[in-house]
Amino acid sequence: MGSVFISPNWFLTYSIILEIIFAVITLIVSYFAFKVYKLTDKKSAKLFSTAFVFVCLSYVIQAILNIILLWKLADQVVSMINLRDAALLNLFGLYAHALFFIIGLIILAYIQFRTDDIKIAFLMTALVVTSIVFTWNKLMLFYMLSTILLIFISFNYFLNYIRHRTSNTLLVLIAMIFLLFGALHYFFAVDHELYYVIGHILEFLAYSIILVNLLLMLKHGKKKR
Amino acid sequence: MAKKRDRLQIIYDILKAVHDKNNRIRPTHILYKSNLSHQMMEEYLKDLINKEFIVMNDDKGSKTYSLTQKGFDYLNKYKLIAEFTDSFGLE
Repeated sequence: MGSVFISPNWFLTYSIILEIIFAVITLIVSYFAFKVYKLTDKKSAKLFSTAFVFVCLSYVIQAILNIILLWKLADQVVSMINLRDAALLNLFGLYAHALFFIIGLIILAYIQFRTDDIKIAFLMTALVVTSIVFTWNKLMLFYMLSTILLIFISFNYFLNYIRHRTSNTLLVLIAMIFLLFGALHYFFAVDHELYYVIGHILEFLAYSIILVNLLLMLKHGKKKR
Repeated sequence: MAKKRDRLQIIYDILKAVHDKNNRIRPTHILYKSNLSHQMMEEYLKDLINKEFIVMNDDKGSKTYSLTQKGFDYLNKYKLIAEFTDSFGLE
């Protein structure tokens, strides 16, 4: 999460760069999924594209808020007003990022049910969002719910790999496992700053694998059948 | 790829059959090339016309089908589409 309070200050600039990279990669994935939807009319492709738009927006918000925070904290005169503004901004960014990221994960989990009943997605969103809004420790619950959703998603990608046994499905499975371990590390980052750095590195590995997978698909796709 | 022909593969087979017949094919040839029942083929053709992958022509009283630009795009990008949907479990 984009917070100076759990991120080591020396890592904030790297964190912003990584968040922009995550936003770009997730936007590319979303674009691909939308192209697939336009050509096939597959509802799951449309949902997948929407899920990655939400994940992308969560990183955009995180990056923008961290840039503002960095700028505020780098101000030569760090007044109490500045710090209070920074804390408020941080809180807003935290909730906005959590909301968009968790909705993205819910849509990804919903796709795994292979159902047309959209009520399930609304119910999941309502349960998760109200839980986060009304809990005292929002950050911990957000990481916990993200972890649970990522376990469910990763398990389904494991089944997908067993079904197809291709290098593409294996790469996606590995990427999801990295995302899962990334979320787990953020969970501990509330007490130990170093875990925040590890979480970002794991996320970077996950999105790099997804990007490599897309590039491999493009390369294969250009070959004539 | 799944061993059982999925919907994407069947659409590909139909479009490829149209393409291989110089982009003008009769329904009987599609039936033969796509390995579908008559009823299934009719459903797929109707769906492909609705999605603007193919158009129906009236060639001196006999019905033929041709690919649209969207149909050509699907053929060219089929492998990419199939790998993408398989990779991310988009059944």
